[in-house]
Amino acid sequence: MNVPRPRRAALAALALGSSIALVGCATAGSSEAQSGGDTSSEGPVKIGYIGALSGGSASLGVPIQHGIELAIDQLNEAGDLGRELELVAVDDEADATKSAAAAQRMVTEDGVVAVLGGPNSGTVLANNPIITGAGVVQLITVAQGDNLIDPETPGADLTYQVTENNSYDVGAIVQLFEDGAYDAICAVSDTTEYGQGGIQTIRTVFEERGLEIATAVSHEVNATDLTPQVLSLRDAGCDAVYLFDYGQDAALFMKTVNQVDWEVPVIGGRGLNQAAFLSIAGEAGDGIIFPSVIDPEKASAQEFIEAYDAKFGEDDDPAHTFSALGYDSVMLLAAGLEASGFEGGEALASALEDVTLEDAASGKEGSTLTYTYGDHRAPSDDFLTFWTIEGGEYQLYSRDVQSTRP
Amino acid sequence: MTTFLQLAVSGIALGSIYGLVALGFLVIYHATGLVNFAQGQLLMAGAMTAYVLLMQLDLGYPLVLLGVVVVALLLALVFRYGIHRPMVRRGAPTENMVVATIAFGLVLTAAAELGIGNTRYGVDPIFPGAPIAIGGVSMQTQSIVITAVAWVLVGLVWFFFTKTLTGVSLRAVGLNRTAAAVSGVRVSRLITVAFALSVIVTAVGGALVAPIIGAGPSMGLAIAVKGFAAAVLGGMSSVYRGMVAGVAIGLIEMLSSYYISSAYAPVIAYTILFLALVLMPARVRKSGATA
Repeated sequence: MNVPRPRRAALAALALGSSIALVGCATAGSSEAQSGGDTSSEGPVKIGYIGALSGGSASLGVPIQHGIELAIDQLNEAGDLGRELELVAVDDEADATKSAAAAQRMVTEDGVVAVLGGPNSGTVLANNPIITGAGVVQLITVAQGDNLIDPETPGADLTYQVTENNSYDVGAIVQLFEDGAYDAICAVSDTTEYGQGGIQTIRTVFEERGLEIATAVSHEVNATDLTPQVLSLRDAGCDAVYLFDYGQDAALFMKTVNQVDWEVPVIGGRGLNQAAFLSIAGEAGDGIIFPSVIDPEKASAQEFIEAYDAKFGEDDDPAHTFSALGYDSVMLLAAGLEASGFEGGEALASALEDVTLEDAASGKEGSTLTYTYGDHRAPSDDFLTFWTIEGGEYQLYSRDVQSTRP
Repeated sequence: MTTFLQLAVSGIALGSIYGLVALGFLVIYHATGLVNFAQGQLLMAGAMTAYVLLMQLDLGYPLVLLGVVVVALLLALVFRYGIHRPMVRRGAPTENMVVATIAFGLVLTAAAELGIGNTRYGVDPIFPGAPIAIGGVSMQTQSIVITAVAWVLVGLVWFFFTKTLTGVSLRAVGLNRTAAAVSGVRVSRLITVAFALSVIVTAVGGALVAPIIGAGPSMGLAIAVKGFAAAVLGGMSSVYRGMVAGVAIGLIEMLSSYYISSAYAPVIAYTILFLALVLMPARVRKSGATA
C-alpha cells in the first residue's frame, strides 16, 4: 500500500510517540513462545507481573513491582531454591483491555509459570479468566475486591489472593466507628470498580454490625476539586467520614476538609498507604486513621523495610504496605514452586494449598499467610494494624486491632 | 447561601484553569488552524517542571516560574521546528498534524514517567499558610493565585492580540495567511510566537494547579478535555470567551455536583455544554477573532 509522504510523517510521529510510551510497558525477559506454565527443567523460572506501572494507579503498582524485585533478588542471591527466578513485568495502565492483552501474551508467548496480579480489581477480573484459562496460576498481590476469589468461577482452583479483601478491612475498621458512637457516618469514594465495590462492601458489613452509612458521595477518579463532596457531607450533618479513596483523591479531600475548617474524624481505607497521599496532603492529612499490613514490631517486617529502603530509598514506598504484599507474593509463590518441583498449572496450585508463611513482611506479629484446600485467601486473623498521619509522616496508631477473616 | 458562595468560589478557581488551557488551544488554533491535543501534556510538563525545581532542587518560586517558562519555550520550539514546520513544508493535511500532536503528547508523558517518576507528587503552594476565610467562605491561597494569574494572563494575551503590532499581525495570519504574507507579515516567525505563547500559558497553568492536585505524568488529560470544551463553547474565537466558558464549566461542575449528583456531575456538566452548543446561535459561535 502506498502511503503519501505527509501521512507517513504523521504515522512515523505517532509510532515514535507510541514506542516511547510503551517503553514503560516493556517486558523484562524474552518473548520466546512457550505454552502456559513452565515445564522446562533448566534456566530461570519466569514469573509474570501485570500491574499499573504508569498512570494514576502507578503509585500502587510500582511499589508492588519493587517488592517483587526485592524478593526475587534475595531468593536468587541466596540460591536456596535451586533455580533462579526471572520477572516478566507488563504495565497495564490500570486498563482492563490492556491487562487482558498482557495476560494473553504472558501465557502464550512469555512462558511464565505464574502471574502476579496487580493493584486494581477491575484489571484482575479482566485478566484472570485468560491466565487461569490457559492453566496458569495467578496470585493476586494487592487488589482487594471481594469477588476476586469466587469458587463458582472456572479458574477458582488456580487463583490465590495474597492480600486481605475489602470485607476483611471494613470488618476491622468498623470497630473504630463503633468506638466513636457516631450518629451519622458518611462515606466517600470514586466511581471506579475499587470505589463502588468498596462502598457496597462497607454498606454490607455495616449492616451486619448494626450500623449504617447515612450519606455516600462519589467523584470521578483523579478529581481536580472535591469541594461539592465535602460540603455535601458537612451539610448532611455527618459526624464521621469513611474515606474510601486512593491517595491523590484522598489527599484532595483532606485538603478541602481543612480548607472549609470542618472538624470531623476521618477514617480511611487501605488506599491511603501511598506515597502520593502523604506527598500531596502534607499536614492536611494529620489525624486520619487507616488500616495497614505493616507491624513495626515484627522482626520480619523490620528486615523487609530495611532491605527495601536500602534498595529503593525511603521515599519510594514510605508506608511499605503495597511493596510488602508484592514481596510476600513472591515468597508464597517460591514456596509453592519449590514444592511442585517448579511445575506450573495444577501441580503448583496443589502445592500452594499446603503453603504457610509465618515470617511474612506483611501482617501483624503472630499472623500468617496460609493457603489450604478450598481456601485461597492467605491472611489469617489479626493481620492488620492501624496507622495515622502526624506532622505529615506515617505513624503507628494501634496494634490492638481485632481483624477476623470474613 | 454560604455553601453556594463556597461552591462558586471553587468553581471560578477551577474554571480559570480550564480557561487557561482553552487559551492555549485558541492561540495555536487561530495561528495555524491546528487543534493541539498535546495541550494536557504541556500542562503536565509545567507541573512536573515546577515539582522538580521546587521540591527536588529547592529553588524559590521566582526561579521556578522562570524555569517553567524556559522549559515551555523549549518545548514550543521543539514542537514548532521539530514537528509542525516540517509537516507544513511537506504539505501534510491538518488531520495528520493533529495526529502528530497526539504523538507529541505521548512522548511528553513517557519522558516524564521515565525521567521523573510515574506517581503523583505534592508541590508546595506559592504562599504557604492557612486558607483565607471571609464571611464563612474560604479559599486556599493557591486558588486565589490561580484565579488572579489566569485572568491577568488572559488580559495580557488580549492586550497582545489587540494592541500590539505583532498580535494584530498574528490575527491577520489566522484570518488569511496568504494575504498576511503578501502584506509583508513574517508568517513563519509569527506562528512560532503563537506556539511559544500557547505553551507558556498552558505550562504556567500546570505549575499553578500542581500545589492543589499534585504533579504527575497522567494529570493533564482530564483538565485538557475540559479546557478543550471551554474553547469550543467559547466558539474557538476569542480568548475571553474561552475563559468565560472555562469558568462556566467549573461552576456547572461544582453546582451540579452539590445540588444534583456528585457521581454524575461530569455527565451533567457535559450534557449542559452539549445543549449549549446545539442551541447557541451560529452567529455567536462564528463571530469574532482571537481577541
